[in-house]
Amino acid sequence: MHEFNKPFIVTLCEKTVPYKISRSFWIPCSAKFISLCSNPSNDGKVQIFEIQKGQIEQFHEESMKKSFNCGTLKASSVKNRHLATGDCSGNLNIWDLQHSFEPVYAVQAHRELIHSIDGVAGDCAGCGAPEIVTGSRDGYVKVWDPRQKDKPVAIMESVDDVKRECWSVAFGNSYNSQERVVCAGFDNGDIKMFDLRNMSLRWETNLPNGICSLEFDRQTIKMNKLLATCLEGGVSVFETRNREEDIPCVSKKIDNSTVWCGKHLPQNREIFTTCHGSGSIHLWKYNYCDEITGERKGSIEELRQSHVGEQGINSFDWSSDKIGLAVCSSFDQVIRLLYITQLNIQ
Amino acid sequence: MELQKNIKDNAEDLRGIVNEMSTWEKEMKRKENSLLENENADTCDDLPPVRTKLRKEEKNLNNEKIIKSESTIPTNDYSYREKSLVEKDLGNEFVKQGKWTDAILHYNAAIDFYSEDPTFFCNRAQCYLQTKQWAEAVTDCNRAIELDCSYVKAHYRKGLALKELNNITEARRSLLKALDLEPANQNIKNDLLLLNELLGDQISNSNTNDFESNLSDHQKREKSLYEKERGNSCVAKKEWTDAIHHYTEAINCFSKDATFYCNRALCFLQVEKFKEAETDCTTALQLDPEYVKAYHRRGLALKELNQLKEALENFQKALDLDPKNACINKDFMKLEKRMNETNLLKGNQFVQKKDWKSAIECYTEACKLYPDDVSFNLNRALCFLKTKEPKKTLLDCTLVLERDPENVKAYFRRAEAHETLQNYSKAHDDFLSAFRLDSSDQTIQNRLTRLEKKMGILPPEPVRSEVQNVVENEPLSKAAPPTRLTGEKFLKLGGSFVQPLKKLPHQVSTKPLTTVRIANKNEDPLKSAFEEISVADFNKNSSTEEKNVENVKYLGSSNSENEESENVNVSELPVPKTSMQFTSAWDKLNSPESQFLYLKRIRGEDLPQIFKEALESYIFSEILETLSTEFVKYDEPVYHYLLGLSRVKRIKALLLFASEEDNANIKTLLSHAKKLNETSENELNELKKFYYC
Repeated sequence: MHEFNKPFIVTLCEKTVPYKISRSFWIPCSAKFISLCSNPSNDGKVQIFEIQKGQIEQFHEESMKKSFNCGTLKASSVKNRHLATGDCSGNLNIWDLQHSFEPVYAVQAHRELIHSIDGVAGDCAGCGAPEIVTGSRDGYVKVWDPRQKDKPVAIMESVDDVKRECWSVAFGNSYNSQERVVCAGFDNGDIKMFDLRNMSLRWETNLPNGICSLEFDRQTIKMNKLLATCLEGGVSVFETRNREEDIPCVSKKIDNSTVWCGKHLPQNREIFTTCHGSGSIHLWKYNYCDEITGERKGSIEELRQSHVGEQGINSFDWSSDKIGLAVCSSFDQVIRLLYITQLNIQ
Repeated sequence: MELQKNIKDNAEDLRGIVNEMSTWEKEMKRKENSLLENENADTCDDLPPVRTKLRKEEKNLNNEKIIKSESTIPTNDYSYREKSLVEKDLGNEFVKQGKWTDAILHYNAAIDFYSEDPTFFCNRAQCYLQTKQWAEAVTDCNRAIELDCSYVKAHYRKGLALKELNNITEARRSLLKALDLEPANQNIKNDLLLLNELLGDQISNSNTNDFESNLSDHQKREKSLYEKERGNSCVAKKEWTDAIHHYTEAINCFSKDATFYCNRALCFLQVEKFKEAETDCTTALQLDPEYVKAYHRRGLALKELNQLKEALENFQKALDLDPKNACINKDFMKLEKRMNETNLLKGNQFVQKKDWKSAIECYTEACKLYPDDVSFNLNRALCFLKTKEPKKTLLDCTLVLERDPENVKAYFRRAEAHETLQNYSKAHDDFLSAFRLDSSDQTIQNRLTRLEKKMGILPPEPVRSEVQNVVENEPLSKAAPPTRLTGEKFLKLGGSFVQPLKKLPHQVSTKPLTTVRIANKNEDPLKSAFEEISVADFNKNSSTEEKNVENVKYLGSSNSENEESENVNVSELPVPKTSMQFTSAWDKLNSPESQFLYLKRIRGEDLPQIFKEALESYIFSEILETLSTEFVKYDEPVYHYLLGLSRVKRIKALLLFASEEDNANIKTLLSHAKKLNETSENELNELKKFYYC
């Protein structure tokens, strides 16, 4: 492919904020996105920004007693906009954004801070009930149903005495109302896949470094590709389609900086980005294995890398409403609106 | 070409993104509002039970059905598709009545229900066109084209909207695309013609006299456009000759469109018919004097035709019209650089040929282009000296010295200029400055002493004594002349040479000059025979000003005696230690024979040491010439010279501008070295590589 026909990563605009941003993600069906911010004094803020005339403008700001490490809107319908957050002392909260941050749900989910949260089935019919999964420093992975107060619907814990920190969680395989899996990545590089229907451990593997993020390319189809990003520059894709065990893994090591997150393009599941501690964003394309040659593994191809920030990019989110549009935030306290061109790759 | 196109496309893409973003923003806000207002949309009640409960009831729920919820808008839901079609029909209804805003609302709704139908967008674009919202119309058309790339109406409407946005070329492209898809469509044709007229206003103005038959004119026009498009497609495939053919056809049909000529010029450029390209560009420019590309291409053609100055003017024009064009800029810079180099080179060549006037012209040109590089001024100063314009030399040298106060040559040349202007004290100062910077240079010494003599003849006594003191403080200036003397010459000069002068005590030098020189002389076996005389000479010399000058005089006239006693004279010249020494000695040797002998005394390995950074290109050529004629003739080894030369600093630059003769000489030398088996094959190959890369 010619250099110019490849996608370009363009920074449309930037906004510097006076606090650390732990996560930024779009509100579906709007030109707004949420940034979860934390102050050094352990209190936090939920900022809602809106794109106005091509610039990032503050739309709403809500101060919180605790700082949030993670949040998701995926367990809420497009209309309701219930934001689920996990905070630094282990609380899981759900807030109604439409009604001035009314708390909808609150529970002391974990004993220690919640590293990661994921939601499922918020606005998708026929793929089961909306659920939230949380992974915490105390080593537990818990699944919550907002309809059931105070108690998780599933708890996954290690049988060993030594508890590993759970750094990342992801839902997947939710293609009907019964099937669903949760993947959890741990600080020692373990990835475990739990089957929620059978309540069993379905598959597990180990990567050399701690797992910073996990994501299925789609949640509401039969599980296909699982993207895992690690400390020290590791990017791995597991092709889980139609396989119970012996799942092939394609790995790439970029540099020694942490890969903070990896996200699939919602409009094209073969393309994904990874965000690096060096401040760069890499754009990848997954090529499936060729059935004819009988290879078991596919391959990943780097389409573009771009140095976006001075410091590490810790969160990234594609807009589901516009192909190529994305928001990312970095440790240098800058929120960036990115546009990635020419993503209509066949 | 492809790269250019890509860059251009990308720039357009970016502009497109910004436009698209703003419309997307509006669209999203509208969608969001409608979503939030729509109270009816309910949460789904058909969710599966909470997981823990589910497990308890699992057995009973084995064959639970998947129930679709209507809370969301899946694109594959047919009911929504139908609703969208209803909305579209309503919109169409309003369009017929000319109620554009109402129609837009309905199309909005239709798009909300189903966003993958290009007709919705295209229809909405029509409404936007009617309500003069051009940018929105373009975005809608783009979306429609995205969904269906062969949607004629979408292309057509995009063209219309772009035309209103004054983006004529893009508009034209869209219309042409539409016409391509539907060649029989009269509307598109008409609009295209209108657009072409907009493009070529002047042309059509001049055309109004032609009343022959409008229709046939139009037809011709159309045919020409068609031919042009075919030509363009040939260009895209890089079939240049075919493209030329098509463009020629187009010009035959309609001869007043600058683009035809300009495009044909491009093809001519590609097939290297530069003359034709130039003529075409000129014609294009006659039709449209602000045609940037035509200027650019004419520049390229002229460059190839070696009319560099004119090419530069063209590039300049093109840049004036389109200052941001990176491509032209690049070409411009390249040419400028090349011109500079050629000017420098040409200048040097003229200097070699002693065509001072032309050299001055070249250098002046170069000075203008590269005001920061003083070497041109310096060279020009030399030429001015030769053309007896010392005042100009003064100016140039002063300029050089302002920039580079340590430039020996500049001092030297300024001194010469002062001397010609009979401004002796200033000349003396400059010679002294030059001398201080390069005390080993014979020429400077000689000139200095000569000048001093001149000044001595002229009355001002105090100046003279002062000069003398300064000179005597410099050991080499005293010591140098006698070392060059041979016995015969010394005898020829007879008694007059050794006449001591009375000297005041304070004028007698206290410096131990002679010791240094004697040591040097001992190293030189040729001179050891005359040591005694020399020493004696020195003793007197150190206290005699006049005698010194005598020596210099004698040396100055030695050129004429060269022919008589060549060998002796050459062997008498010292082995040079600096490039100035070499150059001055070399310049005196005017027969190849003597140059051969002189060069033979220098070891090739020492060449880098001698020349450092100051190897002049003409010297380089002459050395090569001597090596390849004389050395080869006498079967003398040349490898070490070649090796030595290859290590001289800046030799790369000289090689870059080496003339064909030089290259031929190098070739002969390399083969000669090979013949004599002077060194291993490998080393020779390496040298070969160096000289030919």
